[in-house]
Amino acid sequence: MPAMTATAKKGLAVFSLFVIGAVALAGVFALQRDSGMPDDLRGIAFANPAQLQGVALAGAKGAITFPATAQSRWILLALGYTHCPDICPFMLGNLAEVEAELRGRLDSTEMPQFVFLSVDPARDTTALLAEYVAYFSDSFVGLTGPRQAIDRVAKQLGAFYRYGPKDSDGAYGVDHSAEIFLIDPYGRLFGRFQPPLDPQETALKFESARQFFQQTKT
Amino acid sequence: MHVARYRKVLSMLIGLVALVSSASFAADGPSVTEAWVRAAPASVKAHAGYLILHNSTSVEASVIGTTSPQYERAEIHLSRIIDGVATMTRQDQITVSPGGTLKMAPGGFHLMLMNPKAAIREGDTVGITFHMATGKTLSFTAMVKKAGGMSHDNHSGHKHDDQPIHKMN
Repeated sequence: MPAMTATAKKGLAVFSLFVIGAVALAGVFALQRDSGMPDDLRGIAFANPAQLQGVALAGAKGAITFPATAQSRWILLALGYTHCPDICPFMLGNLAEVEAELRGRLDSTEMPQFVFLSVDPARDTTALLAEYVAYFSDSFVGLTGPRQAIDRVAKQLGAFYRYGPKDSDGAYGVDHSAEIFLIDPYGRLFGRFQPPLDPQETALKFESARQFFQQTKT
Repeated sequence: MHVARYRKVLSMLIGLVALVSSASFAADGPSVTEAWVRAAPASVKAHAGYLILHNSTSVEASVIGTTSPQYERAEIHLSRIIDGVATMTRQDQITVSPGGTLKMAPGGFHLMLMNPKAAIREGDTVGITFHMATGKTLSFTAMVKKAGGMSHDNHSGHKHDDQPIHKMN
């Protein structure tokens, strides 16, 4: 009898493993099928993009609601500040390369708007921001606003920033999200890119995002 | 006779070559190559400098400070992206092991050059001095140039070989 029990146990164990494997496989399959999201957008796009509420910000041309309520363009947004000498110029230079790549592929009406949101309004005036972003591309837009407005945008994006301590000269650094936020034409947070962005890969992913948006928009 | 003269000329030539090559490596301490400063709009008050620091000596080389006559302040900083958040911290010193190199490149170690005394434009050169732990100084010039993202100064071919931004997550 002990021999029988051992065999039965072994059988049960094998059967259990088989069931666990089948459930896991089904789970993986279900996850892949859940939203019909293209493979190349996995890890970038959100399954359920959140609607962003418009926030009053300031740009070179004055007050602006961001994202605009009647928005029709995609937005690629980077967060930062102009006293950031390393990461921010790198990200903006990288975005300019992505823009150049997209220009070769898309009509002007299909082009996304590139936005740099300064989280350091005390030092970044809208005039300084305009000069700063134009250095990377004529079409880039610089936005900032009161800290509460920036906080509202950051919170909705799931973005983070934090001021470092001031030194004896009053200089300070700001830690900030280094992701590129992708906002769809409905003003929803569609996804996030992690720099550095390969211009060709990013252009393909952006086209994929546009197609997916067209297929699934309601 | 002829052979002896040739030998003499030859040994003189060898001596000369040795002298010239030792002269070009006379700075038998740490050295800097490929130094550049990222060009920025005129109103931007903080610039970043990049370079490769070589330590050809048999002892550690530590930089404990940096100055530039063209900026009010200069420091060594380290950028990192941790869990998607960019941070920048001042480094009191950087150390290169004997025979080693340290690459200061976008997204990592860089010179933080603050408050230019006069406008610094693309094509200018910036004089920079490293103050070493030994008490010696190491001075070099950096070219001011405009750079993009992926294609910054990376001549090494594969763009993924040298990811400019260090991902730490």
